[in-house]
Amino acid sequence: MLSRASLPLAFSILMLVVLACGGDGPPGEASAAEDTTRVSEGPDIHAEAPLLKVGHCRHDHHSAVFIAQARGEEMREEHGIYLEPLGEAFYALMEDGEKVAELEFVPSPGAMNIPNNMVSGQFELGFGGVIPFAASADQGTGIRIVAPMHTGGDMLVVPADSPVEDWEGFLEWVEESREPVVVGYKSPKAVALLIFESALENAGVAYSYHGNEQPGSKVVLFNAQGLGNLNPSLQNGTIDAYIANNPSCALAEDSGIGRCIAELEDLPPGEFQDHPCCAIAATSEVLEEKPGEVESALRLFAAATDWINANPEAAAETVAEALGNPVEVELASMATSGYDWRPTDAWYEDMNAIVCNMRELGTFSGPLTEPAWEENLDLITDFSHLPPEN
Amino acid sequence: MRGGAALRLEGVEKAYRTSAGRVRALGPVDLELSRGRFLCVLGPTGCGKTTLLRLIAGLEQPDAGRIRVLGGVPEVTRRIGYVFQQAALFPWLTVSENVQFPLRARGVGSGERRSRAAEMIGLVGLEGFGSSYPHELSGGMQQRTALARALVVDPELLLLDEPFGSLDLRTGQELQERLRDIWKRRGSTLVFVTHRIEEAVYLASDLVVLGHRPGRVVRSQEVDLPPERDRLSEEFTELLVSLRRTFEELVMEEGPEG
Amino acid sequence: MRPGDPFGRPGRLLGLLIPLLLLVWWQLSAGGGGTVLPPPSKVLQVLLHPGRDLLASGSILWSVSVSISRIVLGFICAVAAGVPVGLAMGGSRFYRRLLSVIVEMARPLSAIALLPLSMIIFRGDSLADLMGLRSLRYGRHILNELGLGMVFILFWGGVFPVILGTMQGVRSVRRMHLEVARVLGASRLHRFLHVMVPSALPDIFHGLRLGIGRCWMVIIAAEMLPGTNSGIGYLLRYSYQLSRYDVMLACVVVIAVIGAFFSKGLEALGERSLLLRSRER
Repeated sequence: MLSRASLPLAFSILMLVVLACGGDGPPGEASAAEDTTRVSEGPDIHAEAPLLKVGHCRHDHHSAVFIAQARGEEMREEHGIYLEPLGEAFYALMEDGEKVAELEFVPSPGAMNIPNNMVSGQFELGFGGVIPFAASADQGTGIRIVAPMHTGGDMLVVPADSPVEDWEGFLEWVEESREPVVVGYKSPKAVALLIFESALENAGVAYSYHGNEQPGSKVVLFNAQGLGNLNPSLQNGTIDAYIANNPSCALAEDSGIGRCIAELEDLPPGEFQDHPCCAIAATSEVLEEKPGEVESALRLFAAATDWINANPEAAAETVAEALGNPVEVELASMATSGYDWRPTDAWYEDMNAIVCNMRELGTFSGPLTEPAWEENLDLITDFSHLPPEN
Repeated sequence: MRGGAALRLEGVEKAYRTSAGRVRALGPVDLELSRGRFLCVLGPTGCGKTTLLRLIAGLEQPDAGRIRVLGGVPEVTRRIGYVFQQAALFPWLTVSENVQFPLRARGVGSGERRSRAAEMIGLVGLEGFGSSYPHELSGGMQQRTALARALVVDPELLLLDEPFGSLDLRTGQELQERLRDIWKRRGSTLVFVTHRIEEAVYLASDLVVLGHRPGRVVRSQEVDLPPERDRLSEEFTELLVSLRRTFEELVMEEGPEG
Repeated sequence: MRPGDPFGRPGRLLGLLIPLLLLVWWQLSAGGGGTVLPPPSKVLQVLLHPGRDLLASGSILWSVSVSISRIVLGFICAVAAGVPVGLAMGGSRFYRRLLSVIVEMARPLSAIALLPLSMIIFRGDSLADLMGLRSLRYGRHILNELGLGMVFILFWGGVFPVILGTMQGVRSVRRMHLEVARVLGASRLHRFLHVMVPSALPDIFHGLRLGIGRCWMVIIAAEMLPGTNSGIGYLLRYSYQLSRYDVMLACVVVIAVIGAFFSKGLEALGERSLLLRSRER
């Protein structure tokens, strides 16, 4: 009888404890803030400043975030713009010894959802893929890419025990195989797929899609619906190879599942050198209301990007720690990525190709249905807030 | 009469465990009934009449004593029919399907099943209702169906537990007549439990009165009334009054105890 | 007019009132700025052209056919397994003891939780592969779309309400009916088949309705599996990722309407058994 009566009681106590623990998230902020005041005597990091919410993924394409968060001291010395931690997710953005903004970092579970999260107001500045950003702009959300951030990093991966060594070897394998070679991709809107298709066409390999396979196809492309599904699918033989961005390829090598045999942008015809992958986008509201703070934030991430390129090993260490990946994986992965905040000619060209491809796939229903590149570009991007190139 | 005992009970006792402790429901009871007889078990409510029937049917086991039914130990056999206080028809079956149920359980072919059910439905006066569902019937019609369902396999021993208790007087009397007819025509043995004295006097060839708590036999007799009974005849009324007196005595006896 | 109901006798279309009001509110609010949700008229445009290809992923019609086929197959598996298991658990203490622990442990595992497992076990194989119909793989064929992993996820989603409903039905059979059947000479098997099962039918149908509803809930999860290129759940997620909220909302509407249609259909099938039993009580 006693145990029966005490069970609901115990349950309610448990619930109370859980609620109480959940409730004291913010106080942790205060203690972290105390620690940091001792480190930096000079500037007042608690001064009032506008808050900027920045969304990103736990992904090494968004390394600039982790570098800015963790390498404040080096950034201060080398670039004069840096972050001081205020708490778990809050940082003071310091420039020329003064706090110019407060940044709150909001992690998002999937790069594909970044524009949706911005639309729903979870953050106003977001790290995400150029394709969802372009799709979102087409729908009149007012979201624009304000800085390129990351390019390349797409690999062709085969099982670890495969004798295939390079692209020529892959083509031979495809030619000789009696059954079509099944190649996985993470999403129909992955840039990797676009590049791989053009490489296959260039090599004269007939291909089609899983679920709509055509007779005579030597390659069947398989939608794995997510980067995370590729390695397990390769391991259990669902697919024979895959194309994807790092770090899943580096992870495959590290765990002995697969081997990277080619970087996709190197494949002939090579039209997609330094193709856009991830970028920073902003909502129209934040560009209107806090342009100064956005510019400061972009200077910060540009500086962090430069720091990555200047200190690749230290950067890989930081990113590996932030993501919980082995350092070797991040070293390999980040080496294949291009970190660049400057919009280059190649960037514009490839972006145009990507938008055209999206149009062919029926993605758009708004202004981007019109193939007018200048106007399209105005709708998709706004690079006026970038720091001057030096 | 086919001869031999249809039923023999010797020192039968039964108790139930309730939240108030052990309650003796019945016994000890001694009883004997020949084949082809119509026994009415009379008694006030709660005297263990239903328990007695359930023991005979083998739905429950006695705590003490011995029961012989049709020359064997009581068990749920296909030679016994049972009509419950509520009709307890299967609501998802039509009248005809309900009546066919015991035949189906015995693996009788569908043609024979249907003709025997139709015959039985006629016998209890339900012509034209074969394809009705139980919820479309009145209480009396439901009870007729139940009767037909019990009789369709022609049981050697038919047990009836206040089957007409919830019916109005006219329907009750009509069914009593039909039951007597059936008994006379088939020659099977019937045990009919009721608390209505007039019903018992009208139906029975043998009468047993049970007293209460625990149920035991306080009176037992044959009924020597003519086969065609007149409810207004002197003999009928005499037996009625005599039985009522026995009932009154039971109540008086109950007084100081309870 | 019924005396207890102050609104008189409700018409059959009363249930559409709230959806209509929502639609009006949505149309009125979508016009004003601040929200990026497209107005119902735009969604209607998508719905009015169900045969038009969307986002290179197939039309609404194709997506719905694919999803319905998946759901029907998964649900048939759920019923084929769930009803016998429920009957066994309801009818016998042995089976109840044997199976209740595993059923209670398996039940809270959501379909999403099983995605990785399903991916590893069933790979990208479809029903066509299982049936050895390799020739069907060329071109779009509905059998190619029936991924075994998806069927498993849908089965998982639907099977537990079916088991529990069936078990509940068998256990709530009236003792009186079982006793009557016994004295009328019915064997254990006969009592089980001809008394327990029909008694349990209304609860079984209730379980089926909950089960098919759950299948429509987990179709989104099922169509998250690798190798999926179509289906209404796939289209919903894919259009969301491409900010095509008009297509996304059209998918929501389609799932809601067809899901309700399925549930109502099962209800109509079970109506008779429910009617007879409720009258009797």
